[in-house]
Amino acid sequence: MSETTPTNKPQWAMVIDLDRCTGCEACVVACNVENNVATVGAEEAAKGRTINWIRIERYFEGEYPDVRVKFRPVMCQHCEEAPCEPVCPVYATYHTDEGLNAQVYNRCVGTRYCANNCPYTVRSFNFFDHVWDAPLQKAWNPEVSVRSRGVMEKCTFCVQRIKAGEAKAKDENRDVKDGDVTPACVQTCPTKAMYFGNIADPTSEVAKLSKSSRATKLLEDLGTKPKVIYLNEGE
Amino acid sequence: MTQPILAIFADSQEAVATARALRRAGLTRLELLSEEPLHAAIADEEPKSRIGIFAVLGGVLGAGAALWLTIGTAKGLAINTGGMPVVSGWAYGIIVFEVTMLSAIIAALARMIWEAGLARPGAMQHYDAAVTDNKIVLVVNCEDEQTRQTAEQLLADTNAEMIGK
Amino acid sequence: MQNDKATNEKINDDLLRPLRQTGWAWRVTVVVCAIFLLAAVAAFAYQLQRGIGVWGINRPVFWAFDITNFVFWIGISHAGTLISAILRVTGAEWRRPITRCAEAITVFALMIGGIFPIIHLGKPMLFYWLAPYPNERGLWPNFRSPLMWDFFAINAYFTGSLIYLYLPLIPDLALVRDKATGWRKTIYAKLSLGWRGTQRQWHALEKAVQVMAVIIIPVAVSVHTIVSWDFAMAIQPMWHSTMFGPYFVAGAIFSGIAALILAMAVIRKVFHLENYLQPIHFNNLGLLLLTLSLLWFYFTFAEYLTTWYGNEPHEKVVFQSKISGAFAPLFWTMVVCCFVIPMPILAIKKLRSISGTVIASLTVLVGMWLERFLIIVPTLSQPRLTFNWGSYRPTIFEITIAVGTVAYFILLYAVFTKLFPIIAVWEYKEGLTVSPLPHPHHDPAGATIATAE
Repeated sequence: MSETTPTNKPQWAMVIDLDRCTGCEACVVACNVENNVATVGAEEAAKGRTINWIRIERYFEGEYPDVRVKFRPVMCQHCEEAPCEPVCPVYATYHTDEGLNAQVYNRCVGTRYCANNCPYTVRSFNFFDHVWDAPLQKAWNPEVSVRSRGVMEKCTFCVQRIKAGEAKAKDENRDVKDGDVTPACVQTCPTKAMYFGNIADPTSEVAKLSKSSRATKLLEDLGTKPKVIYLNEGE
Repeated sequence: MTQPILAIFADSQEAVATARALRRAGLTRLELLSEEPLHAAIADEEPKSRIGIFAVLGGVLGAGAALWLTIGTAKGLAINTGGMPVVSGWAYGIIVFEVTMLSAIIAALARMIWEAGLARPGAMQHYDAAVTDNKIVLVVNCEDEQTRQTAEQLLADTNAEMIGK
Repeated sequence: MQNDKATNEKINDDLLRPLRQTGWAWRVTVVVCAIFLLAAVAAFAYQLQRGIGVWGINRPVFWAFDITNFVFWIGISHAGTLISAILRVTGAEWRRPITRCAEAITVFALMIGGIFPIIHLGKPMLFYWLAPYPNERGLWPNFRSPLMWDFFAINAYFTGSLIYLYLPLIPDLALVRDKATGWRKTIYAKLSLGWRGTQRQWHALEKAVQVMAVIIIPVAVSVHTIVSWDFAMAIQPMWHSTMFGPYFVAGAIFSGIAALILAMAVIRKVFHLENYLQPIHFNNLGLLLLTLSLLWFYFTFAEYLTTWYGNEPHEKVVFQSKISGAFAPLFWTMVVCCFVIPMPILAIKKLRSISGTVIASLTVLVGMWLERFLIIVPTLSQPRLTFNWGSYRPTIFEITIAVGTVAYFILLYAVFTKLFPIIAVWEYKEGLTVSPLPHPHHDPAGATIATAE
């Protein structure tokens, strides 16, 4: 089934330390601002039409009064064998040689099959054209396209920052290293629960952390080979 | 070549028998027009149909085209989706099957129209609408005056109504 | 052996009457259906202008009424070409009066089923991007996507079914040509391609229909299998099932026969074709419907039993929601409609009358629509990460479009019966030639042609 082309390109991955996550949702806000993610309004949100590239999933364990709350930030897992990719008839979503699950808005016709086949439910659909109340449109990030109605969107690992980081490394005539690329969520996390980097580079922070005994992947048994690694909470 | 004779029969068995008699007399260029297939007459005429072969040929052509379309375009693009092979035989087999069948159907239709002499100018020559009143029309094409007389004599002995004498 | 003149004239008169005379029932049907169709067009126009958000779909229920209707109509299309092809290949004589009404159902149901994948797109005007042609985007479609399989399968099936409907229609078009006058004659002359009824033409026609029948059976089976694979290829709970292919094909034929029985009952009444569509036809189709009702139960039981016994948590959640949770009322209505009501009606000979089969068919259609809905929505609304669970409620726009397409189907069918003989005239006459008294020993209740004369 799998056919991976050997590449010396960086393979981008993220590590999230669940011990450090407080569920503050600063990452969500940072992502919305960085990526021009639309706010759909209360009415649409009640219908389940919110657009989130990252969300904090909140789970309760145990019965009252012995209750424990767990938080888990979930974004596109950039699976190496992503179920969303082959079902798209128009190649709107495909796998880049840097291990990213890319979404090409201009190709998307909106069959929504990718979202139906995503076991992590991380894909958001633009059911309507969105309105940014003035002067919010002035805060748009010029590096990121604003998505039109009828297309699917999701976390890109801040591909615009990846490209900028790679360009910088190229200018300096070296390989990318830790710190070249920091997605908005990672940059914002007040407890430093998130790490981002090139997992193909064994000296990178994410490569080291991914070998931790606490490292797990979400719904790993599905064989999707996610690129987001969670460090479980210690007891 | 003279104008053909159109003989209109009320009874199909008589029409088929007359056609046989004419054939024995050397007049082979006959056509029996009927409102439903006359299997006895079809057996006499022994028509050869190549619709089946054309369907197979069409299918083979379609399969080739589909193989080119799927494998060729996928290799050209070489886009990785879900880690699946660029040439995914399991998936492309389905496309190849459908195009094969579609091409077979279209080839069979084209061959059928050609064999039946449909959709061409002059297709309606030598016709009489009596066919739709449950009559059988026997169209006798005569080479020359002599065979024409033979045919007319033979037909005169039947209950047929003759047109174009 | 020919039929006598009087019989022949009577058959021509009976079967061509719908083309000559227009009754009030037909006019009312057409007007009412046209109104509903216009309402659906208006709903779609509004959706185009505002966005697909006017539907009730959301995250995680990205598909709902749209794909339910798509699967339902593609299922209905299995009434015609497939049944007619099987009956032709096996030489079942009783098929003669029903082949055309069956084949027409296929063509129209596919036309309507094909609407939904287009209008359900986020950008419906870009549907043609799925077609493989050299384009300015420099892209070819992804043939690994089950939606591309759909695209090819449905196109092959639609083209094949249209040809399969048209070929045996040619002699009847010639018949209408000869009986018609004026501009109608010109049109039918064009459509009949200069058919004269030579034995060469008959032979070619019979051969072609035979070849088509053999080709179209595997295509029909593949079409609904591929529709099922839209779900089975996905890894979502209760979708990723190896038996979805045969399960869907059986379900498609099931709902297809139900639609055929209904269409025949209506045609029989409206056009007074009691002598042609006889109790024997409803009895035989009723027996087929019974077989498929049992088959449906078998498949459904096998599918749910394996899920229950396997006890895989994500699957079990979807299972429970159908058996005893939020979807239970719909689920048990489905079981009642697909099995509890129709099975006894169809199994008991006394009840397997025309009205009996019609009642059974109505419940089967409701049940099978629910089945498709229950395959799609419970799975999607309960994804693996429970934080994202959602629900679905259709809006007036989805309902209007669903109702409008039913009206559109009836409208297309009604117009078809006005333009073309809905019972194949030559095939029927040939049947009388083959066995002059049609099925007298099978037919205790209905009047045969011979006695009706």
